This record gives sequence, C-alpha cells and structure tokens, in this order.
Amino acid sequence: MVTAKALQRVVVRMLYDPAFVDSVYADAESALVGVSLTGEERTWLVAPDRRRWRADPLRRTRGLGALLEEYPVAGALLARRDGVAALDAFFSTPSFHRCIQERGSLGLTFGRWLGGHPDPLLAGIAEMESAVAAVRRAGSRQIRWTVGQDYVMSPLVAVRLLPGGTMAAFAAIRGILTRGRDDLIAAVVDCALELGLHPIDPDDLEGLIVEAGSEVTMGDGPLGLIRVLMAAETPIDARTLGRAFIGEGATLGEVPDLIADLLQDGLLVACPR
Amino acid sequence: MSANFDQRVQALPHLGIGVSTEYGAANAQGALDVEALHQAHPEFGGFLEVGVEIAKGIDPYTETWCAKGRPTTYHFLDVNLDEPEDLDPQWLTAVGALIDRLQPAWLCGDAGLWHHGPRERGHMLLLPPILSDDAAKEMAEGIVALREATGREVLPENPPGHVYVGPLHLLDFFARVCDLADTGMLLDAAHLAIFQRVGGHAPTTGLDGFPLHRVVEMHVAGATTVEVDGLSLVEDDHTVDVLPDTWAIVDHVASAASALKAVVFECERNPLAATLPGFRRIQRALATAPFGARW
Repeated sequence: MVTAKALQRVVVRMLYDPAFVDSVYADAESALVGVSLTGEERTWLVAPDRRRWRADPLRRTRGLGALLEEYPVAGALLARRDGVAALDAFFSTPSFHRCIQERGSLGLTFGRWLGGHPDPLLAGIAEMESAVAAVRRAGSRQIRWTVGQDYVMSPLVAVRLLPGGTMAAFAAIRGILTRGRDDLIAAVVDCALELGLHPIDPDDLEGLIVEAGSEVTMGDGPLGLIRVLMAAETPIDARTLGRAFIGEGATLGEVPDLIADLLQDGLLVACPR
Repeated sequence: MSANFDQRVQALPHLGIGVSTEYGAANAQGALDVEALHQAHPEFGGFLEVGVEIAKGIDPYTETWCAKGRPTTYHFLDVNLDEPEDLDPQWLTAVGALIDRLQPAWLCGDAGLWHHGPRERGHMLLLPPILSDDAAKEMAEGIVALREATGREVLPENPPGHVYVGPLHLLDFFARVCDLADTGMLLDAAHLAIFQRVGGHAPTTGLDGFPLHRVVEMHVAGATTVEVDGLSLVEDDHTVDVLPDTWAIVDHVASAASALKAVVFECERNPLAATLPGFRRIQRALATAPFGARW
C-alpha cells in the first residue's frame, strides 16, 4: 500500500480513538507496529497540537448511531448486558482498528464484533442482523472465480445456523424497541426499556435465510438446505457441492436436480463459462 | 480530452454567483428558498451547485431547477478521488445517469476522505488529504480517471479540517495536484482560512505562489469559532457570518483568478434576507475583477 493511504487510515483511527492518540504520541513506533511508515512520516502524525484530534467529540456517537441502524436488536442487548459504554467501546477495539487499516466494512466488522459476545442470544441476533447487512451490500461484492470452481451461493443470499428460539427473540425484542416510538436508536440505548427474557436452546438449531430483492426478506429454512448453502458461501466445485447434498441425505442421482432447483430459486449461482 | 487545461477552460461556461444545495437541504427549518432567491435576485442565484450522494440521488427542488433548464454544477459527496476502488462501474454508471439529468457545467468536490472503506450509508466523513507528494500524485490520478470516465472537468476542492498531517502547505499540495492532473480547481476560501489559522499563517500565505489561473470556481461561507479543551477551532458551519480571513482570501483570489467562472455562497441553511449582505459583499469583491468584467 502506498504510504499516504496507510497514513490516512491511521489518521482516521486517531480521530475515533483518544486512547490510540495517547499511545501514538507516547511512542509512535510501538503504537504503529505493522503499519508501513517511515520515521519521518510518524513524526507528521504527532506534529499537530494533540487537542486537535478531539475537535469533534461527537464523532464516535455519530458513527455508533449509523452502526446501530443496522444492529438495533443486538445493540440493545449489549447495552442491557454490559452498559451503553460497551457499544462506544467498539471504536477502541482491535477489530475497529484492523477494519480501518485494512479498508474493511465498518458495518460488517461491527456485526462480527457483536457476534463474538459470549451471550449466545446476543451473538445469535448479531448473526441475524449481520446477515441482513451482508445482503444489503451484495451489489458491491464481486464473485472471484478460479479454475475448477462451479457454484457459489448467490451474493443476494445469506444463511445462518442459530440457537433455537433466536428468531422469535429477535422479533419480540424488535417489537419492544419499535412499539410506539419514532426514534429507534433512542430505544436501543434506553436501558430503562426492558427487553424481557427470551430463552434459547443452543442444542436445537434453527436455520435463517436472508434474501435481497426489492426489499430484504428474512425467513427460516431447513437445516439441510442451510448447511448446503453454507458449504457454497465461497465458490466450490460441483463434486464438493454434491458431497454436501449427500451429507444431508440426498442420493447421488438426486444431486443434479437439487442443484438445478437452487439455481432456479436464485439461491445458487453457476460459474459463467 | 486531449487538449490541455488552458484550452479546455475556454469552453467552460461563465456561471456567475450561485448557491449550493444537497438532498433535503431545502426542507430544513429556516433554509434558503433557492427559487425565491433566483426570482428576486437572479444575479445571486445564477446557478445551483448540487451536492450529490449517489445513494440519495437528487431531491424534488433540484429536479424542478433542472427541469427549467437552469445551470448546475455537480458537487460529489461520496468519492475518495485517491482510491481507484471508489471509481467502481456501478457508481460511475449512476454518476453518468445523474450527469444526463443535471447537465452540470462540471464536476467538483472536496478532494479528501469522504468515507473509510467501501461506501456505506451513514458513515460519511470529510477529512483533508495527507499533505504529501505521493498523496498529491494519487489524487491527480483519480481526477484524471474521473474526468475521462465522465467526459466532464473535475475540479478538486480543498477540504476543511481541524487536523492536517503532512509536510506540505495546503496550497502547495493542491498546486501539485492541479499540475499533475492538468486540471482547474475549486478554491474554498473558508476552508483555506481554517487551514491558515491551524498553521498559524496569515490568510493569504501561499497564494502568491499558487497558480491562481487554475481557479475556476470559488466557495465563500461563514464559520463559527468554538473552543475545545482550551483550543480555538473554526467550524465550517455555513452561517452567513463570513470571517475577515475568508474575505481577505476572496479579495486576493478574485483580483488574480483569470479563469474564475463561478462563485458559490454556501448559505443554504439561512433565510434569504440574512444572506443578502454576504452576496452583495461577494459582488463587490468581483466587480473590478476579471470575473466581474464578464457580467
């Protein structure tokens, strides 16, 4: 990467994270390990009056608001579990810093970060909302085929395996957050608004299919179908796809028709020849 | 576009004084009524600079303006010129479609970081570029690529900022960009005033060595001084209270910018009556300048 871009990404990280500013000003070489900058370029970063990095105190709040638009239910659960400050803390995590430095998607990174929470309900709902976020971005994703690959799950589709009861919990909490309220984000961070108890069963999985059309739709799907599509989340050859079907109980003779059905339903995409 | 800038600029129209807008701006409480300005003071509402995020498109007010065949410029709000990934086919196609509708005299916009990573709604930033030679080269390459892709001039604008990183003066950076891309420029006088204050410079420092013949458009806007942690900062908030520093820059540039064809008073959030003193001040600055000679 050209140095100016690496520098610009460090600048973004510094604007969002005062703790990172402190570490760069204290010891830029240590704070910027892994970022290819010269010693002179590192001095450019610490030349400004350090108060300038805090000139926009609402930057994190605005950024968080945009993220919570896509993750309201998981965000609301995190705020209840660990406090509202836990949401804001995202901007100081290694996940955030890696995303910016590697030009990743902030929305998808936030979803993955939420999905790593030890609470299985919160993690499961983050998976649901990240599936929606993924298909919303389908238009910007290009399929990269290599020789020998035949099929891939449509970029307009996302699938997840979730603990049983996650989808019902999602619907119930979403309803609580939106009932009689105009400001969804205010409800997300209003910890006085109780979300109720929503038991889930990690041993009883349920399948989620999200599809992008004129609007994004979310529904449940058979576990076998979900597992086959998960096997095709990155491009695979026909033989491997066939094995995935057989692993779910199909016979070898049924595989061509099953693949044809998925292609017809728009769940699978064939490599253009 | 094989001709050089000095040749190409001859073909650009003289737009006069105009105003800026972006999606939904006219709906805000107390916002400028652009149509009323155009009717009552056509000399101040000569063209509309349309701020465009492709994800939002253009609003009905802009549609109405265009339907009447009035002049526009296209101010992008969603492209990092120095990132080739940002000039993706999907975005370029949408830009092309909007150009067909707006028929802008040219494209322009802040040459900075509008977003980090891929375009995502709600994550708009606007940061100045790294003020270094290699950043200027990348910026110039992006300008040329967008100019060739759209068939329109692409005028980079100096962005605002509270913190600037890199060894070059902002004007030296943009002089390099203009030279490498062989392009004209949109000089934002208010943004430049902010940079000069941050650096402890006089308002017009660096303008004597800047290729002012490349300034095709100029922005004027009010600002507010705020204090954060004891540090005085200037917010580019588009009030009608234009800083004396900004006026000093406007007067200097107006007197020497031989190719200046358009001046925008960025006052879209203010009622018409409040904007008139600013427009008249701009008019006075331009009256004896090369710009004024073409009225």
